[in-house]
Amino acid sequence: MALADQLPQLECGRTVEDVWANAAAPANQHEQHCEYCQQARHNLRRLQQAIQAERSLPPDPQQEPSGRVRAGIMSIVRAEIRHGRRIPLEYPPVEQPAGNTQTGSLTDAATDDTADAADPELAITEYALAEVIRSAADDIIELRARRIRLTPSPQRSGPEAEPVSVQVAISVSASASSSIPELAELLRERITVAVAEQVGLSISRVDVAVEDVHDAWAS
Amino acid sequence: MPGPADPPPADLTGLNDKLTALITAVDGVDRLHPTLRRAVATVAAGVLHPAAPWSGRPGRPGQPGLDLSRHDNQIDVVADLGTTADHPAVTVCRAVRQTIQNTLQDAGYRPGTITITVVNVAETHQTTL
Repeated sequence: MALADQLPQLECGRTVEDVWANAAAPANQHEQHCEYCQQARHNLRRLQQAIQAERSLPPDPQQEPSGRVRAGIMSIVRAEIRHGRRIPLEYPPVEQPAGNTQTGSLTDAATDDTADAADPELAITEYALAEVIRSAADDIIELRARRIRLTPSPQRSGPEAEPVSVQVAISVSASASSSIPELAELLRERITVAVAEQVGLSISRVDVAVEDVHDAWAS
Repeated sequence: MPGPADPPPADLTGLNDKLTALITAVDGVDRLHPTLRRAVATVAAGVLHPAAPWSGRPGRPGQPGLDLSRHDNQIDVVADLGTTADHPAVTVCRAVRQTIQNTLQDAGYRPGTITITVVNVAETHQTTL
């Protein structure tokens, strides 16, 4: 097995190492249009800043981790970058500005801290949710899932916790012997059920793009 | 349980162990997942305090997937976990959040920000007899 086969891949098929190799240079043509690479570049830049801050400290040989520790850390680094965005599992209540009364209670503090949709209290990683969808798609023998893109619904202000719905865009390869409209409908149903049962999110829309057709025997 | 007059202990190790046990006992929790944040904290602890692991020190005791930080009497919690496919992740996370809040309050702390992230949904394998 080639080394590249053992490295975690982004949804676009590139490895974190591919992105890292070009991290210091301007985004290449692929990276300019690929949201997964853009997210990985953003995360790697933050990692690089942390490394530079650490390097500015006086060197201490006793702080050098062993090879095993270093390998363990790098394994987790790759996994974290691959995990992608945190997709909210719920939106907390958001106080209306006009009715906002500062009582100093715990509830108010928690609401203020979590009102930023970019950092929800309860979330699932983009990778984990995509894997649920990929698994649902791969259960259909005539299909092979390729890229998956997820777009959570935006947060709205309101006094109650708000459920989150997700739009899914999935590209697939379909068996040549299958009816593509029927397959697409089956795929939508499987994805909606799997995400509801396993994650608890609702699916607002599933866009299916059949990018390729493969021989029926290959299914 | 400590009363209002009893300040909660400075050492978070016991609280961390208790939270770990309670979280992993919640229906639908597969396991706590190690993260970079936790790994770095653990390595830093081993390098900076090789003879004095977490016990006896306040701050950020280590369990994979669970990170506690204390600000006066308030505890912020970050948990990264895997759930099982037979339980909706959102329901599991709410139960975990409630467990954390109850445990912190019972221990005499004020729950701060509780951030929970599902990093994996594990397939459930049915066993047949």
